[in-house]
Amino acid sequence: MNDSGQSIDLGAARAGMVLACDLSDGHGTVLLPGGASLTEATLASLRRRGIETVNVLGQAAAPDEAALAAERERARLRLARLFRQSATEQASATLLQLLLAYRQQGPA
Amino acid sequence: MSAAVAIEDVIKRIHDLPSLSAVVVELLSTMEQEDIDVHLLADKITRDQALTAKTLRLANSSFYGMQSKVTTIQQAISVLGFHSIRTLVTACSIAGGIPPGPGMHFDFPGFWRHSVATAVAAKALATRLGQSAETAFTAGLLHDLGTLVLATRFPQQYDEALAYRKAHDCYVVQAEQAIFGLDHAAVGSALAAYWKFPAAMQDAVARHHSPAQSPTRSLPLTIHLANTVAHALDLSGQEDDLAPPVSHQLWQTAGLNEQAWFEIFRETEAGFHDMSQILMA
Repeated sequence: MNDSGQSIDLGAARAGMVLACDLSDGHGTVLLPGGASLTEATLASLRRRGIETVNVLGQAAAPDEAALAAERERARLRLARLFRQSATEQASATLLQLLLAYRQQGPA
Repeated sequence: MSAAVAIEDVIKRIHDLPSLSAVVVELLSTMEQEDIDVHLLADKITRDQALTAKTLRLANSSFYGMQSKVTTIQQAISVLGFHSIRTLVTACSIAGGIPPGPGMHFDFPGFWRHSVATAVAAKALATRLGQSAETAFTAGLLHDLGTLVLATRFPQQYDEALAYRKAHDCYVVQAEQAIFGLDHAAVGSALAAYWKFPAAMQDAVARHHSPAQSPTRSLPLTIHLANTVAHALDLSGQEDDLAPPVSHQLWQTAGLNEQAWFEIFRETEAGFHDMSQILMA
């Protein structure tokens, strides 16, 4: 593990990765502090702000498969809970399938 | 269990609420117009102290990270654009029109989280359904206003409705029907009329749970889908939340493919994050 972090393309960044240092925009404004965990929402926000690379902690750069699988399972169970009353409706079932695929796939 | 509440009683309570400022009504009604006089509307905002204060507070929100302080409406417009100003100012004004009372158990932050999520989902949907993003955003933000009327004007009965919802694990609309004999969509519709919302927005508030089964892509359809997406993306922060059902025909009418839906999900999650910072700061 490299404590000083490694610079990766934003496209390769994934939710759950941890920033190695403060992330600033072109004006020097800190968008996210070092140590912050990236989320789908912050990743999308960074994409729209034109951020191209992020510096993440080495260990987190390759999240282990077991953690990813656990996260996917958590997302699946949560969706099942939210759709507990509507999943039998045809269109709701379609929406649920889309969201399951969306949650499994992560950001494109 | 309390007796049902007559819609006339609700309307009476609605009419006790302050009217919407004339400038806000005008800002709302110009959302659908192409040829608007930005200078004239900016001038009207300037003459309204409360609106000016709101606008400057929004423009100076840390979210926009401005280097220097925005001190005039003209500056705010050049920084954020007139459309953003109009959307945010009307939204804040209307949201402030139904103040909470003391000792209420109602989860106001949760209410606004869902409203903001629906607004950003509506905006993402509207751009793909050939509709005005600004109107959709505003309608999304205001679609559950009726809930706020019921929760603040009839707090005891509303607590009962929430207890009913928990006990039966049903939709909020069903619980409201059981306790009040009417639901927040009907109440919202009456409020939207009292506050002179544009017709399409009144319709969207009234029918977001039951849009007409028509083959045209209407604003109620957009808000219906946006409401479902906001629940389904789990943005309300409620453990026992429910994703409401979507009618098959309405789904067909929207006619969006998988890629479009994925983009809508992404934009909604990102937009929710950003708007929460701006509106709830």
